[in-house]
Amino acid sequence: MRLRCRICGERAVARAGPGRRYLCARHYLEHFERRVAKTVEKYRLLRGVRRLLVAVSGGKDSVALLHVLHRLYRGRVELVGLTIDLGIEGYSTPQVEFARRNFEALGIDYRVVGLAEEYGFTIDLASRRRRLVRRPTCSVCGIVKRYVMNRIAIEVGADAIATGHNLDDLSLFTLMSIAQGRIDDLVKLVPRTEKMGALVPRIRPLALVSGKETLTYVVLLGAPFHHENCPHAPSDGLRPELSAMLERLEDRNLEFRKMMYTNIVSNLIPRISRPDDKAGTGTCTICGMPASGKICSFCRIRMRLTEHPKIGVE
Amino acid sequence: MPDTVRVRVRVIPGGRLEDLELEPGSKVADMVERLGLALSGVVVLRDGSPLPEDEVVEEGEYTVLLAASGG
Repeated sequence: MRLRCRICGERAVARAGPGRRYLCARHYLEHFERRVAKTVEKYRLLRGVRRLLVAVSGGKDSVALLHVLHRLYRGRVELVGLTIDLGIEGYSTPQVEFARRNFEALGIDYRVVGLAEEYGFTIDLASRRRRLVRRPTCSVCGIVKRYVMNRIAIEVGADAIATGHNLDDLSLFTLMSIAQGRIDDLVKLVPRTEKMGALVPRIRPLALVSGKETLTYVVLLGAPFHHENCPHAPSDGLRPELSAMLERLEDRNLEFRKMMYTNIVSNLIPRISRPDDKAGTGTCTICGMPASGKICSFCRIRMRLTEHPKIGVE
Repeated sequence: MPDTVRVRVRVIPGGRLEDLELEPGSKVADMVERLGLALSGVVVLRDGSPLPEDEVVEEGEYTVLLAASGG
């Protein structure tokens, strides 16, 4: 049996949309891009954005993000790429290489920031010394990436930063934030966060497409992407269990994650009184970037890893 | 008509390799279920091209890409 595209009769590659129509490669790509364009319009993600920093890890989502933004907004928004070499052995080098290949294939200017070269530490070191940094590795990695993205966005004069968070990520993160009572984190999980002091707005154009959809998109585009698990990602615990549970729910309840996430964004988050929003209002006395205290989280991590006297003797 | 359809499936990331025997007429969705995976979390490829979940499985090799790769 060969299933056929409902629009043109070519060989189908996927079912898509609320109608679950069969689509061929060409019509799937169009469908995906239309969904992203609708998200951009619905949440006005690109208002006031002339130059956009696109954070690309080299994985499927950020590669999809780069291509879809290039295909939809080329000529209207100037894209500048950023990839961060996190210094994760056996993982970061191919990731950076995949990111680079995509930037070059599309002719997009880009920066590669190496944590080791720029700041004197790596995520592998933060993992080995996690008791010293007093944070789980994934938390350090998140802080580091947000810091570097913001810093480079300011340096290149970007009006916003685009990241490849998809619907799977955002529905999982919102659920976890609610379950764990992290309301300050929850309110930031919207498709667009606004400028706050020196914090550049962040946008998530893939907020309403799933990981399955971004994966199908990059496969059909033939874009090179890195598809491996980060060696620091937890293989068990709450996060992977909830992620698997959400996939099962989605199988039996079509578009459940989209319903949950869009309802949280539209109906729940606006009703939560804004937190103090300390982040972004102060300035780090060391690096001058936004901080909630005197020293920003990034500088605290960097100092613990590069200046702590224990490091030399451990 | 053979009484089983033999397939070899590679799951990426991880590279796990599974040899399955499926009933004739089984669909991609059945194969994914046999692997213990959720359809919403995978893209199934044959010769590098994605397949809809109700495409009938034929003998040969398939690749299952997991959408929830940690990174």
